[in-house]
Amino acid sequence: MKIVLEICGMLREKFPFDMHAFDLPEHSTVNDLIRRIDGHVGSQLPGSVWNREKKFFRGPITLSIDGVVITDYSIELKENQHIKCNRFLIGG
Amino acid sequence: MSARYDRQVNMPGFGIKAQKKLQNSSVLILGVGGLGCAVATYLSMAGVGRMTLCDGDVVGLSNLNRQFLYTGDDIGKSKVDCAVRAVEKMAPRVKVGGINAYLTSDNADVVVPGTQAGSYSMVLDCLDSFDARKIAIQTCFAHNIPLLHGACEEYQGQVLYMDPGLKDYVCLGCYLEKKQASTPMIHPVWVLGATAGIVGSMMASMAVGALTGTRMLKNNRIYCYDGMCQEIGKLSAHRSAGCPVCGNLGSDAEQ
Ligand SMILES: [Zn+2]
Repeated sequence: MKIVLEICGMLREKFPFDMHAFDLPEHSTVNDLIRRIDGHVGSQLPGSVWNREKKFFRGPITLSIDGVVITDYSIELKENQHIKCNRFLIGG
Repeated sequence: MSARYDRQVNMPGFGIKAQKKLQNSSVLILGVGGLGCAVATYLSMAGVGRMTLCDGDVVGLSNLNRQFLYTGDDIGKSKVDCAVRAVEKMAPRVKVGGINAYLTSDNADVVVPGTQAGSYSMVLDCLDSFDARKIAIQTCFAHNIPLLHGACEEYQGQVLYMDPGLKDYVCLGCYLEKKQASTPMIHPVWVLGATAGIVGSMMASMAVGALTGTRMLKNNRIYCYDGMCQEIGKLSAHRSAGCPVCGNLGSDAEQ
């Protein structure tokens, strides 16, 4: 199934794409998508953005679908879902 | 009513009643960095009655691209002391006080006291760490005080209003996947001064609306400012019983 990942805000400066369509098997979860991101671009991303050991973003991020954040990464994705990825900010 | 406030009192839907509400309100600003300087400036100039500033930091040279309550002469001095002086000069009608300390779990109930007389109408989170924010949220929720959160980095900002007195409130932690609530921030944080100004101004504008009752703030909406394309987006979340911040605070939380 096709899942579109859109990189938003300042993360765009660090990613080789603004938007990318991933082809994932049926019943894939958000965790599967993250693993796929690591395989696809993990080695190209700067250490300030991607933790290669943990195969995850460095610093907090939000993933959202239709304006609602996903807080459980074990949920199954659905065909053609569009996921936005944004940095969750800490500075003041 | 002083002519000082004419330009806002005469706005449609504002009036003397709203101005008096503002004058009778009391706010606590946690953190007087980039956001705190903007929030303190606009809330004091708008005519908030009482304002307390809380920060344990001293002014550094790298603060001066955005923290406009300070000058080069203030380097090495307490931010709170300098900010209190600046606010007093700018808005002499405001009763402004300072707490020269960081918010910690040890002093939280003293910095943010309960709802008895002397407590705050609203707390403004202009902090710069998730741990301190967690303490602020838990203390404000325990004391039923509305909390307005702001954060900014580089060209981006976010603002979230959390009112534990309203139905279906969510907290900042409800926006994060569980493991990420303990993800350390990336140091140092880079930020454009204007970003802090815009986000702090959004916070001040929302605070005036809520304090005067002229604007109803949405309780489950994080406003995301993107200065790279000058857009403001919105995100919502569901309150989660597994939230690492508010998960244990109420019995009505849903998974
Ligand atoms: Zn929460």
